[in-house]
Amino acid sequence: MKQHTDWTEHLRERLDDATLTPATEGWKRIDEALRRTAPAPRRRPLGALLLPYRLPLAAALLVGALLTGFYLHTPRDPEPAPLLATAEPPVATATPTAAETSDRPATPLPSERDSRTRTPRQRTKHPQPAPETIVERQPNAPAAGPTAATDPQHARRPEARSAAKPSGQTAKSSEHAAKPSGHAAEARRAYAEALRPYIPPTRNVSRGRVSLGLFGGGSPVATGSPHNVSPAFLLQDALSSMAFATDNNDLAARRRSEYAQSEFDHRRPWSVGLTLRKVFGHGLSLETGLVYTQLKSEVRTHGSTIDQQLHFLGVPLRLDWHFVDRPRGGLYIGAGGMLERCLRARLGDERATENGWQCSLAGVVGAEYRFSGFAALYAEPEWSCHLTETDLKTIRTDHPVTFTLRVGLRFTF
Amino acid sequence: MKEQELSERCRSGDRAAWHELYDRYGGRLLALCLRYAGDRAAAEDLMHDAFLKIIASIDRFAYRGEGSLRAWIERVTINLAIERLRRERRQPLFTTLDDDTLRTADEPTADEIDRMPQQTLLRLVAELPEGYRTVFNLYCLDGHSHREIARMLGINEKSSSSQLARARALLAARIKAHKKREA
Repeated sequence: MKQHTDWTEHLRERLDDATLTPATEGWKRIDEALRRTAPAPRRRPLGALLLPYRLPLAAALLVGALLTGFYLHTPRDPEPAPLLATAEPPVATATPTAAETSDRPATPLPSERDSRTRTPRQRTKHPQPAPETIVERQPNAPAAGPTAATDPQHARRPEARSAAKPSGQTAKSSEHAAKPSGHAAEARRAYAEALRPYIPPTRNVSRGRVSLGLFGGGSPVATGSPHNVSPAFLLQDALSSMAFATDNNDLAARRRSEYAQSEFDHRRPWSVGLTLRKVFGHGLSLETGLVYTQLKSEVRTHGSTIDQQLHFLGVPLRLDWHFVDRPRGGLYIGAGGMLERCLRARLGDERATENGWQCSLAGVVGAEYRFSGFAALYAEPEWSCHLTETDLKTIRTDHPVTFTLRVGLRFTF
Repeated sequence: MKEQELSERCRSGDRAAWHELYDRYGGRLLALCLRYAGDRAAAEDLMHDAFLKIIASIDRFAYRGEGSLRAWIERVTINLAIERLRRERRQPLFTTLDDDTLRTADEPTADEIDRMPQQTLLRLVAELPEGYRTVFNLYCLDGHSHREIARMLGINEKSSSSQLARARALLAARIKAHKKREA
């Protein structure tokens, strides 16, 4: 800070409260000009309007995400009907052999259930014949009898088909059997659907497993906070007085006020991080880690532009619920929060200090694709509500609720 | 009426509050305008425009303690003065005076400054050449650094520093001359 120790300091003190009597018609002129151009009521930005309601909004967001997840997770009626119905035409063509008839159990559905509850690995141990083979055998069903009789898989399939049909449809089935093999393609399609590998509804998020993740993310939009007044040339002293000054003279307050009036153009914030996830039962997992975030803004004036950068390191804590989980991937929602500390803040060439902890709440919807046994690619749209503000204006102070898209890799051990 | 209440009423569009704002700060603002504009007529024009801008953008003012409204008003006015200076400048901002005059200038003492009438000091500052006056006001009276001055005027820091030295020397010489005339 520059020192005034000479005669100009006395001059400044003498002129500090200098006043002149304005012209008598001064206010009249101003009043007339104001009447001509009455200032339109200025609409406050949406972020400022929502600021007082940020906590209820965050809570509503989380409840909405949970309800959506619950709705998606609510078990629907299993749909065996299409599975069995599509098997109808071929069933009619296949006349059961003596061996099949003798092997047919009293209740055919359990065999179907067996095949449905069988894991894919079990299926690969007992490969089934291709549907084409079965369909082309239809006109000569009796000839296929011995094969079907020796293959337990073949023996089961007609059972399932017949179980799906009421006995009264046997005559109709005979008609189908009498039709030429031009229906083979339709029958093949029906079989192909019926024989689609079934994935058992078991959860694949193994309890007790630990995942390590690496991610990068950013907000897809950048925003600004336009202001007409552009006293940004005062910013460095404004920052100094705001960040370092301990004296509370009116100069510091004046410059603080000036900083708030400047024009900001916020760049897209981005972050990278390392996450650690522990999986518990019931599809729940807890995730924490370290997240680095950079917030960059341009502070503009009519003459120049000043870069403002803030670097944060944060520790997130989040609870996730995997409402869809398959061997190749899954969907989950999560809610949590993050504590962040500003490591470094700069405005132009000046360095500032942001001492406070920044806390935020976040809701996330995630999708995960496992492309190998232990590695997965994931994407997480995340909505964050920042509850505390930095002294420097950032995209978070202008828009407390932000959207971030994260993409990363997760390794499970 | 306190500053906070006054600012709130101004923000709500209360014309009586605007008038109160003018009555309370008009005198100081006119003195400030005179320091930057150089003559009374230009100062009144500047103050007129400044008040219109202040009223139009009062909703951007954030109250931060007693004195912050005055500080904000003065800052908006200074910004407008600088903006106008940059926009209307047709000739080089800075002129070079005779170095001999500056070398022989003797600085006034604090006592001499304190004994001079405020209006005379204000007039002597206002009568400085435009470039010198602007740098002197910004650096000595409004507390900005050379870096800030260079940025806002579009010059380099060395120019700001040298112009300040010349402004100080010229003002000192004029104060001395005034004292001599009075004596």
